[in-house]
Amino acid sequence: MKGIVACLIAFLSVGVFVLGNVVLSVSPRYTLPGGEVTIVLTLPSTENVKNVRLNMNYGDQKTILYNPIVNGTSYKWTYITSKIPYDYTIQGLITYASTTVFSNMETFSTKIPAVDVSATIVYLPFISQATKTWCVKVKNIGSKPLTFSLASTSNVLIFSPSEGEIMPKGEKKITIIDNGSTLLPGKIYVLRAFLNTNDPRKDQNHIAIATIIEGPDGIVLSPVEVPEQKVSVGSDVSFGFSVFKHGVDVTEVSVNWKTPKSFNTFYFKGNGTYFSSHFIANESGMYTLASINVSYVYKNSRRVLSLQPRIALVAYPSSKNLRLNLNPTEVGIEVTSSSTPFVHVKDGSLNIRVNVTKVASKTWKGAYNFRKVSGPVSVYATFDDVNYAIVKRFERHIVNSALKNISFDGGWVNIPQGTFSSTTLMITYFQPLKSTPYYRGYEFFNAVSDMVEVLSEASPAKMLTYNLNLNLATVNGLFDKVKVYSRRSEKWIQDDIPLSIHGGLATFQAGEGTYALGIVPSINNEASPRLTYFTIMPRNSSGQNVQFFVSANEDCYYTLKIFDLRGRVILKQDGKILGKTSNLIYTLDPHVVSGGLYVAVVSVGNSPSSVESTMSESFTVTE
Amino acid sequence: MKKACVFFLIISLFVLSYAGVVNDFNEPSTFSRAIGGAIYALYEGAQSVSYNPAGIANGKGEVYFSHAEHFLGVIRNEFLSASLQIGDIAIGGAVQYTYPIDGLNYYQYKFVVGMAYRFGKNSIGMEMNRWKGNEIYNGQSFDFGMIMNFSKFNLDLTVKNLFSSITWSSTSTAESYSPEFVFSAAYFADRYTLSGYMNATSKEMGIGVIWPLTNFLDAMGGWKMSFSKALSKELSVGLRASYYNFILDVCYTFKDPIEFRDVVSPFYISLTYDFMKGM
Repeated sequence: MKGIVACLIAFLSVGVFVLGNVVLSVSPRYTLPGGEVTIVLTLPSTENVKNVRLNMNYGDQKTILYNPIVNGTSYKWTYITSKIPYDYTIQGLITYASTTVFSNMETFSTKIPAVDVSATIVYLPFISQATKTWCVKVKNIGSKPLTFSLASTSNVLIFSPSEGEIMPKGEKKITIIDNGSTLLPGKIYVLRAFLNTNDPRKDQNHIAIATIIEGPDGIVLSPVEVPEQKVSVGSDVSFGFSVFKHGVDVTEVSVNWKTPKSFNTFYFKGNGTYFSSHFIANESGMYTLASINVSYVYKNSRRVLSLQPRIALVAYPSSKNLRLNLNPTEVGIEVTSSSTPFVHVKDGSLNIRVNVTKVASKTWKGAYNFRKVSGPVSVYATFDDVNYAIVKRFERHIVNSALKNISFDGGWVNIPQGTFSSTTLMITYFQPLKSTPYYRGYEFFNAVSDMVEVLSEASPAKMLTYNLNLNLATVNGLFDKVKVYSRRSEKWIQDDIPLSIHGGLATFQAGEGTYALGIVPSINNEASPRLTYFTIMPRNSSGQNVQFFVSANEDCYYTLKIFDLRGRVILKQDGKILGKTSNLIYTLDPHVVSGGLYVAVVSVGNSPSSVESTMSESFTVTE
Repeated sequence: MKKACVFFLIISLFVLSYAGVVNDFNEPSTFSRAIGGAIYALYEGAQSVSYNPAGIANGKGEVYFSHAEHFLGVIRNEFLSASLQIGDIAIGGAVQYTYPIDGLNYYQYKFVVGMAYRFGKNSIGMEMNRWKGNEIYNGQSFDFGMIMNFSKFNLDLTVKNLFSSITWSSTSTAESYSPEFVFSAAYFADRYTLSGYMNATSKEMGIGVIWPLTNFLDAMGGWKMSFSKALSKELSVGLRASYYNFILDVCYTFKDPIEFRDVVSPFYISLTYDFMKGM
């Protein structure tokens, strides 16, 4: 402080002369501790100059710098600042023969907030609707609090946090999110993110931390096609889209459908342009095409383009039905409905209306002669009184004498070499059989695979090998109970066909026909079965269906009775159950009973009338 | 015996069919259970509360408690009632607590208050029922009953659960139920009493016999059927021991004895205290 006063007195004593002719400058005015500053004192003339020095004050210390580098009328000092942050004050002192002159005072400081951040440059070869996220670390390497805020050239970039303060030696992670939502394909966008700070150093108060270039498009997805948005349960749902690429290699395409109970993922190899598949809507509810992921390589970098089309379709439970009766030349179409159906067929590029004739009070029949080409045929039935369609689909395959596998959703059929003497048309028709994760003890047999129907234009000379996927959850390890069932004259008959099961795949040899895999109990009449558990879910139903699960130590007969509090039997059911697995024996619609407390009693035995073991459990229904 | 067959034939003519009755533990009395539920045409005082309000006018003042275990003991029911007749007017009340013991979080209370007017061997009565519970926000209904005596016969008509509804807590919806029409008759022979009833709405019917063995001990037996959606049958046996002011009833019921043997059989025990006796 004394120094400053002395300098001020000296300054006042030399007056305007000093300010006008002797100039002291410093650069930079702000730097980090230990940084270098250049101080230049410029004189009007070096004549009679005996000595030049620099007075420097910082903190409580005072320093005099001598021996400047002289360059004409300029005297220059290069000064390495202390490693401790200070505010510095300097003044030049010029000694002439007869007098001493002070320069103007200057200041510089190392006691500053100082930002440290590395810029991120990102180049994206496409514009997607995908959200991209990057993180940037901002540090305060100075000695004062650093305040910052973020800005961008486009509202496409979102920051978190968008502003804040960082204490000395502290750091903060800033997330930059590119939501891409307002960008249109086909253009190039340059998006920049800036960090504004109170760092006084040159160019440190406005820093470009990210430059994101989007476009030109490397991948373009055509509009995703889902022909029907309202279908009946059991309908075949198809979808398709094109992927056009430029300058990138597509390696894989995957499609995720969110189904009412889980997810269904489809994988495609990346070669080709058009991608399509289909599935059967087994459950009622909403199905959403949640995402399409295109994996690609761009400039040796593996990347994934993710789109969320969010196309939804709804599957409605329906009392109406559409059945296809296939033969090698035509498909018989039978519609069961109380209202008049309208039937059309999509066969490749053809879209053909099929006339149906009423043959019974609720039955309409028609036929379609399909072409002898490979590819799918989809049959649609629509109605005036409902807003959904019933869709069924079958596949045609042109098979020559070579070995061939024809695939479907639930497996494939192997056609050995020489099965047909000439090129032949084969038909596959794949339908779900409503398998459930639990054995339904009151059905004839519990399907553990879907149904496949195979027929051909010419009779095969060899047996075909069927490979059907099993529902492992339903089989629950009871592989020895899995049997092949074939449908004959509208009835399912158990076939004594040898069957081998490896993992989730069952293989058997059979001719043309309609097959499914199922399990039924085999009961030993001399056994003494014991119940191992009896469970009701949910036990407190507020309108949900109530399901009753039973397990016994071996296959047996069961009887279920549900009693109300009065002791009346409101339901009685009997049947067979499988041993050592969970058997869903009944589903109670709570709306058909009065609310309140109930008790379900189940017994098992080795004959329909015997009782070897009994369990009971209470449950409530409130509506 | 011939007369007994006649009145059962008569009440069988009144079979009506209604759906949706209150799902309530409607058999809290050990004595009633022992005679197949055929308590309606009998004056059983505190035990008649929640059956037939006209039956509470038995000229006594009673406190009654029963404990029932039902369906392998899964359901328990505790029932406490009282009745008092002063002059021709009788009043009664009861509280009933029903709950499972197999881990299910549920319980329900039923509160009953009623009164009856006795004129000679005849009586009329009414009572109000209210339900509460962890799943029951509230519920109420009314019962009306009358017992008319004709020589050795008592004939009864009871309308139960009239204007009944229960509002469930979880859904806040009120569920309404059909009123129940109960027809009953009792025949008082010299050495036994025969009683029968039919709930035409809930499709329940039963017949029972009370056979005095000594001055202190009665044997009871009953057969009950319900035939709503599936047939259910039960055979009951019971004993009634009377000692001074106390009556002890026990009952064991073989429910659906052929199909389930005795595995879902209810067991009842109750004690009646006649606080007016000897006063």
